[in-house]
Amino acid sequence: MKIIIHGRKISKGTGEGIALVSRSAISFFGGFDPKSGLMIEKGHELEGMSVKGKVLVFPYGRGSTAGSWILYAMAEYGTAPSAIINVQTEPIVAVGAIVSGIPLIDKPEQNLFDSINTGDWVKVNADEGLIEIGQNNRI
Amino acid sequence: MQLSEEERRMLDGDLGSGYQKAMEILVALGEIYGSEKMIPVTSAHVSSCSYKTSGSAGSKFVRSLADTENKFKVLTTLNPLSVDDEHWMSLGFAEEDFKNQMITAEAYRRLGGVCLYTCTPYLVGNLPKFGDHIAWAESEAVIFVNSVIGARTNREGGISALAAGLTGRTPFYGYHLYENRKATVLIENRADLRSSSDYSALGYHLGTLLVGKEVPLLTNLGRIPSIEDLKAFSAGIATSGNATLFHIEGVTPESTDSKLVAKVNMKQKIIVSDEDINAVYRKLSTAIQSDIDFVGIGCPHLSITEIGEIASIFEAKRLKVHPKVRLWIYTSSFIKGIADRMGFSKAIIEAGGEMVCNTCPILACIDHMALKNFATNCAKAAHYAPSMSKLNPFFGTLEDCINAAVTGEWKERV
Repeated sequence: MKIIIHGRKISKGTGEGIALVSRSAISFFGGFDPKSGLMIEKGHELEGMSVKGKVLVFPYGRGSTAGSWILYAMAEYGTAPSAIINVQTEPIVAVGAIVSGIPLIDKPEQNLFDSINTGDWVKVNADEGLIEIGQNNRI
Repeated sequence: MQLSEEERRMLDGDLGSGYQKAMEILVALGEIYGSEKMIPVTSAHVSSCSYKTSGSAGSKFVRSLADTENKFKVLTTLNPLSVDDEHWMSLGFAEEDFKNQMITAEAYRRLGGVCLYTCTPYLVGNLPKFGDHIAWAESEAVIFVNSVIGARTNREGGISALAAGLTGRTPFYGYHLYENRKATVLIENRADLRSSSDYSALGYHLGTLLVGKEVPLLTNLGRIPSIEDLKAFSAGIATSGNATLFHIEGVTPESTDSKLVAKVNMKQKIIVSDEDINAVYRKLSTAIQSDIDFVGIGCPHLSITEIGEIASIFEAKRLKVHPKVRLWIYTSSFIKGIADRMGFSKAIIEAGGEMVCNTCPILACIDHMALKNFATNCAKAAHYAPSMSKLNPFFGTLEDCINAAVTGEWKERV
């Protein structure tokens, strides 16, 4: 089964991978360790999980504006997500994604958390504003 | 967003990949904030040149932009660095920090960034006019030029200001629009404001009370505040909250526009008392032991008037800095050049103080100096001292701080 959701392009490009879904907001600064790509914020629902090569789904960013540089450092270390989907993005994540060349879509026309589960295979085509979701690691 | 032909060509990469990346950032921000078009800016001020905050990732990104040979299209000035780039060795900065910092600084220079290295660019060569649209980072400078000059800028981050400097554009939203510059909260002052540190405390107090996009109108300040009072106030209010613009009755230019300060727009009235000001001094003095080994004056960077005042206090009373204390006086190279010619620097250095240029109490890389208890007359420096520099702060007036520098002890404020 394949679901297609339309959204708004924020950062261009295409990317795909296994979805990693967080229902809570994310601060990249103090949230992710750029060298390992692991979530290191104590008590965060993604604590201990790696975002490397995954499609990261979360509502919006929060925290220090230095978070943009953390995303850039993750891209340099090869630990960045392959794409990002937000409910409604904000400048820290948006700027971080653009400078790092990570595709980013926000304002999806359907509820993300009803449509995407951690482990689903997701394709993001930001240029077209398209999100493709296939359950059980397949499209 | 509606883009002009030149903006579209920048976005499409026709004019180089640096302009393209910058325009992608600005278009995304415009989309996020619901802006319909870009507007030209007359200047930018960029904060991300400090290695301490932007790190090796920031350095790499700026070098990649500089390699495109695209240059800033408008006057773009730079915020303080993480070291004193001239006297780093004698002040005891680490060579590694100096080298890392100068790689980043050199990349900004290649882009055409003007190396003022100050948070008070409006004192030394980047002075916008009333009504100018600009794109500045550094929250204290943003709120100062918005309010005291009446220029128009949003509170940009380092990267969005960099993108605006490159393209000469910023998305048209927020404080660029006249209707968003209306005062919404009336502040009635009943405190006795006697020094710039009192203004710093007043700003910090109000910043915690103002939420979202509130614009305060301050009334009844007593004597007319000086430029130094206003820069201290700007740093304070921008530290504890998101405030971006204020008006002061009879002082700031837009306070004479009856539509911007109409009482009917005021949603709230806040009364400020002496106790509110004293509470900020207490709240930000989180150090426990009263022995002082570090005193920092110059957040925001000092004006020539302030340096003259400090020099004259040391000279008049023949005071000497306690041998275990480092007293750092922070300013830009430009102002220090004047202080040197005036003999102010000599007076401060002979008293045992040190003149520190182009860095600041928050951004300087001083962890390796193992300093512990820090006295300052700036709410912003006290606020950031624990997280940015592992220092335990005391916040007081200039007199309190000079007394601490001379005795090596913090005297409890009454």
